[in-house]
Parts: sequence; structure tokens; C-alpha cells
Amino acid sequence: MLKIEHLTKCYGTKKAVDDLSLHIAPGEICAFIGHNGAGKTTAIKSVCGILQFDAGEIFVDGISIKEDPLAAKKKLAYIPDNPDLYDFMTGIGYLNFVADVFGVDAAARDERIHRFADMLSLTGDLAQPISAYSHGMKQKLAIIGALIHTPRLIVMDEPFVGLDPKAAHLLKELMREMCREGAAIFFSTHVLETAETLCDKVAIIKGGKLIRAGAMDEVKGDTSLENVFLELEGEQ
Amino acid sequence: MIRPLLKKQLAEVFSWVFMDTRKKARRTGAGLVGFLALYAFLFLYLIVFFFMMARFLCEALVPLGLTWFYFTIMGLLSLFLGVFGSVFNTYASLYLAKDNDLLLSMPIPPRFVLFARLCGVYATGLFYELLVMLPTLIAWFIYGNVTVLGAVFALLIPLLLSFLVLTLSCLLGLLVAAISTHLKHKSLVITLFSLGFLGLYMWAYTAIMSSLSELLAMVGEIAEKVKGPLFPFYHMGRAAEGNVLSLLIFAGIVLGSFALTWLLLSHSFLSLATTNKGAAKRTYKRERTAQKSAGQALFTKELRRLVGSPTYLLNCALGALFLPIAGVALLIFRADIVPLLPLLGELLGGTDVIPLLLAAAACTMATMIDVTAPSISLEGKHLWILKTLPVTPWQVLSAKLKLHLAIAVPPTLFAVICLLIALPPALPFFFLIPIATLLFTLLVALFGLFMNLKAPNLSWVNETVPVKQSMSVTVTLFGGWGVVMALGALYFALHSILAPALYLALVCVLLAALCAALFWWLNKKGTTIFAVL
Repeated sequence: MLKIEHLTKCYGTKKAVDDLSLHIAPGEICAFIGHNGAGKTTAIKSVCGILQFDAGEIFVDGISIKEDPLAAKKKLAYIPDNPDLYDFMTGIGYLNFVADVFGVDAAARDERIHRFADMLSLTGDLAQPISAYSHGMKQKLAIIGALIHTPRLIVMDEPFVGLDPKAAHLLKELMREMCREGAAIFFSTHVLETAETLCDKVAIIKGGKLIRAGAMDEVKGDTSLENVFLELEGEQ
Repeated sequence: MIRPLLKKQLAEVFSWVFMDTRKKARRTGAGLVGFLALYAFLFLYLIVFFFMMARFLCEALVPLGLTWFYFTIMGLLSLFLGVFGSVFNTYASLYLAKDNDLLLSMPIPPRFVLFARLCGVYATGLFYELLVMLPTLIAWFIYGNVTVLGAVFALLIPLLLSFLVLTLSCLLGLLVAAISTHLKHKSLVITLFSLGFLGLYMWAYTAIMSSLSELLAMVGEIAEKVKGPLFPFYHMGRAAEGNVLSLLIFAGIVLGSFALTWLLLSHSFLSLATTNKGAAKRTYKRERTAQKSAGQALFTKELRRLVGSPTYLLNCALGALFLPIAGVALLIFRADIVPLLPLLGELLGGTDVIPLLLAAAACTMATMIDVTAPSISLEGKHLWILKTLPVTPWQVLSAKLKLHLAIAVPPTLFAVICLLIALPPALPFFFLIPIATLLFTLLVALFGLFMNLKAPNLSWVNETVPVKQSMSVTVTLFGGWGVVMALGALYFALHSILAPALYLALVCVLLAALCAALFWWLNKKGTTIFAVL
């Protein structure tokens, strides 16, 4: 579902992402971990078409984000770490805007908005302006906005930050449900326990280079993901 | 403690000068020199404009012994410009700054935060005030009866007046903040409030200006009439004549009112800055919404941003209100204006120039709508949304263009129709004036977008920065006037070989060519620039 081939992205002379290759199959959840400034957000933003990259290729469900960005974007959804949404819109206004752009028909959007909003306890606040939302409420709204067009690939940057425990639990359930339906999920996180219990796959990045990637069980072996991560951080 | 705060505030206010926001780096030496030269030109242009006005008033009033009234009129104009220039950003700077929470969480007394913010507001107000007061002083030094004491006191007047500008801006900002915490339709009320203030001030100023001719005929009586209601300004004028007592009275009024305002602000700042800005809770009713196309959704988003922001609306779309008012005023005061036109025509070398003047007036008014000029910058931290949605950069840009045209074309057309009814020109101009005006409106829309792509600012802390303090808005506004003036100058260069109607047809062709070139640039290079922002 997601194929990253030799991705390189530079800021001036600094290589933020250096020859990164990674494949995620349909139905897989892949955690992307690394210390601050390792290049996670740059790689994620390149995947979503926010940043243009210097070398390599990214395919979403077989479509190159470079060659046909619109078709690729129709298949993916992005949830940023800090959801800066349109403050001048109401929650429902934002969701309708996203649904309109993705061409989701009235009946389908109505059903999805209310299913996800009810699940995340946001329905009562949908008429409020986004400027009145808390960080967690914005995060929930961004999640609903991301799922409204039933994406094939969901890319998330620190999705659990700001969510209350119940919402975090529900998001994990949602992630599993989406994967059961054939979507793939690629997300960055610093919560290694969550990554360990939730993900089929893990990719560890350091200094822009992918230093370990594979099935979760293979990467962590008999120890914990935290131990593996700390060990890799120390030896490199 | 206050120094780093001041440094931060002034860096925020002047970031547009030193930072190339597109490259996210400091301007190079040459870039900075070019940038400052451009602004120096614009500043000089306005200074010359106000100097001509000051000179006229100075030469008319000083020989009549009305120096104080000269300073009163120019002082009021300066106060108006200063308050008008800074009032819309006072509320946003003081109470809506995105770093209020961060600063208030630090071990800094709130009054220090308030002081630093006020310094930013003061700098903006001072800039606008000096645009009038500098030429006022220069004209007076050249054409007035200047005494040594009067000269010293006159130099103090702009300084004192700047505190009055600050006081009025703060009081209005405070009023807006106090009202807006209890409102449901905050943006609408703030916009109406600001328009009301503007209308009141313009009415008062017009009333004073219209009494000028009466004053010249009945000096003593009018002077007595004006002294009472405008006594602070009477004393300001008297101070410029070298009157010590008047200077002390004026300084006392200004500094006293500022001290009281400071007490009021410092008392209420914390509660107003930390009040939840959300309005009364709205109940959500489940309703099925009709599906829109991506283009319609983007257009609606742009429209919501415009009407949801009083700062954006008042600074970039106010012309949409003024144009119909001007049109209706033309119809009402037609009888007064018609006799003046031949005189104006003779002054400019012949009555055949009148239709061109009408077209120029309509185009100048059209520059008051600059919706596209800050529209890219206003995406700010929300830009990621457009980048991840399946829309092309051109779809995004054209939604901004369409909004500008939707806001600008109907009132412009209405004003032009009023103009053609009130002051009917010869037959060819019936077609050429509307065509030229509409092409000019399109040019302003395209040029605003072009400028904002060339000089975007996506890292603003409060939205007054991209709307009021950005290069793209300033250059679009003054650039529009510049084009009108350049076309006027071109006419005077060519009028011996080109009839006015033919010249206006040539202008239409020129404007159409400029529009086509900008349209091509936006479609090709503009979209590439937007994609990498």
C-alpha cells in the first residue's frame, strides 16, 4: 500500500532523510520511531505530498505521489501532530469542507461523520467554532476529517498526543478496524509500548537513515521494543 | 525582564522588514536596501500628498491668525489616520496574540506583557500619525510664523499626539474585547462596531472641513464655536504658537488620559486575555448537507475566512462598502458636482479629459479591495490542509481569485453605473469606462495574488501581520494607485496624438495584456511556488 524507495530530502546541505526505503502492505500497521529531529516528520510529510523531496519515489497504492499527486492524495489521509485546523470554521463546517473536496456524497458523509463523532464523543460540539476547541477536540476532529473518505493509507504523526485515555483507546480500535478492512497505517510515535502492542511492523530512523525495519516480532526478538530502540540509539 | 519582551515584540512588528518570509531567512543586504527603498518611496509619496494639503491650509489660515486651527485640523487628521491605522490591530495584538498563554505562563508580571504589546501598537500608530504630522510641521516651518518657543513646542506635539492615538486605540480595543466575550456573532459585531467608529469619525471630520469656508468668512465666531468642543486641540494649536500654558494643558490632558487608560488596561488585561474566546455554546442539529464540488468548497472556505475575520474584512474589503456609497453619493450630489467638472477639466488642459478622470476615479476606488493580497499568507499554519487534500495548486489559487472578484466586481460595477448615470459621458465612454474599470479590478486581484506568492508570510503570530504589515498588501494597494498615475502621465504624454476615447481603448488593451501576463504567470510559475511553500 505504501512503497517508499530511496527517499532523500535535504534542507540546504543537511540530509533530513537519507535514502530511506520502506514497504507497508495492506492491512499492516507500521510504527515509525526515532528520537526528536531524526527525520520522522520530514519523511511523513513527504509521503503525504506536503514536502517535495530531492530523490527517490513514493507510491501510494501503486500511484506515484510525485507523478500523480492528486490521485495519490485521494487514497491517503494525514493526521498531523499539532492539528492546526481552520479556526474560522465550525467543526461540522470543516468536516463538510473535507468531504466536499474528496467528493464524498451527502448520505455517506452524514453516516460517517456521525458514526465517528459519536464514537469520539464530539457530536455535541460539532456546531462550535474550531477556535473554541481544546487540543484534544481538534485532534478528534482531524481524525474524523481523515477518515471521512475511507482512505486506503492513513499517515499519522504522533496521533495519541492530546487525546484522553478513552479516545486513545478508541483510536487504536479504529486503527485495527481500518486495517481489517484492508487499509494500511503508518504512524510515528514516542510511546513504544503502544507501538509494540498495536503494530505489525516497525521502522526505526536515526539521523535521517533507516537503521532497522521489519516485522515487530523479528525486530524486538525476545526483548522489548524499548530495549531494542535504546540499544540501537547507543551503538550508532 | 522587560528588554527581552520588548525585543520580541519589536521583532514581531518589524519581522516583515528584516525577514524574507518566503525563504524563511533574513534578507540579504541588497534585498534589504531594495525593500527599504520601496517603502521609502511609498512613505515619501504619502508625505508629499499630505504636505500639499498642509501647505494649502497653512497658507490660508496662518495669515488670518489661525495657526492653532491649522494644527487642530492637521492634528485631527493625523489622529484619525493613526487611530484608523492601529485600532483594528490593537484588539488582536493585545488580546488575541497566540503567544499570550506562553508569556503568561512565564514568571513575567502581566503588566510587562501588556507594556511590550502596547509598544508594538504604539509603533504602528506613530508611523501613521507621522505621515501627517511630519508634513504638517515642514509646511508650518516653511509657510508659518514660527517663533523659537513655538518651534520647540511644535516638535513636542507629534510626540504627545502619539499618546492620544495610543489611548484611543487602546480604549476602542478594550471596548471590542469587553463586548466580544459575550457575543455569539463576534466578527459581525466587531466589523459593525469598527465601521460605526469609522463612519462617526468621517462624519465629524467632514463637518469640520466643511466649516472651513464658513470659518474663513467668520473667523472670530467660528473659532469660538470650535474652541469648546475641541479644546484639547485648541490648546495643541496654541502650544505651537508658543503658549506655555496651552502646552501644559494639552500635555496634561494627553498624559492624564493615557495614565487612566493604562490603569484600566492593566486592571482588565489578564481577565480579557485569558477569557475563553468561544461564544455561547451552539446546539448541533443533525442535518444532511448538499454536496459541493471541490472548487465550490474552496471558494466557500475563502469566503468564511473573510467574513470570519474583522481584520481581514475591514482592511481588504472595505472598498466593497465604500464603492456603492460613493455611487449613491454621486447620484445625490450630482447637481453640485456637474458644475465643477468643466473647471476641473480646464485645470487639466481641456474638458475632454473628464471621462478619463472618471475612469481613473473608479479604478482608484477599486484598489481599496485587496482580498487576494494577504490570502496566501493567511493560510499560515493551516497550509498543511490544502497540501494534503486532492486539489491542485491552481484550484486553490483560483478560489482566492474568484472570491476577490465576487467581492469587488458587483460594487465596482454598481459604482460605475451610478457614475455613468450621474455624469453621462460621450457614447464610446459608456462602454470603455466599465471595461477599463473591470479590467483594472481583475488586475488588482491577479497582482495581489502575484505579490503574495512572491512575498508570503506563513509564520505570523497574529493575523494583523499578514493583513496590515505585509509587503504584498502595501505594494498591491500603492501599486494600484501607481498604475493609475502612470496611465494618467502616459495620457498627458500622448494627448496630442491620441483622442481620449482612443486612449482609453488603448488602456483597456494594455490592462488586458497585463492581466493575461499575470494570469499566465500564476497558472505556470505561481502554482509551482505554491506547491513548495
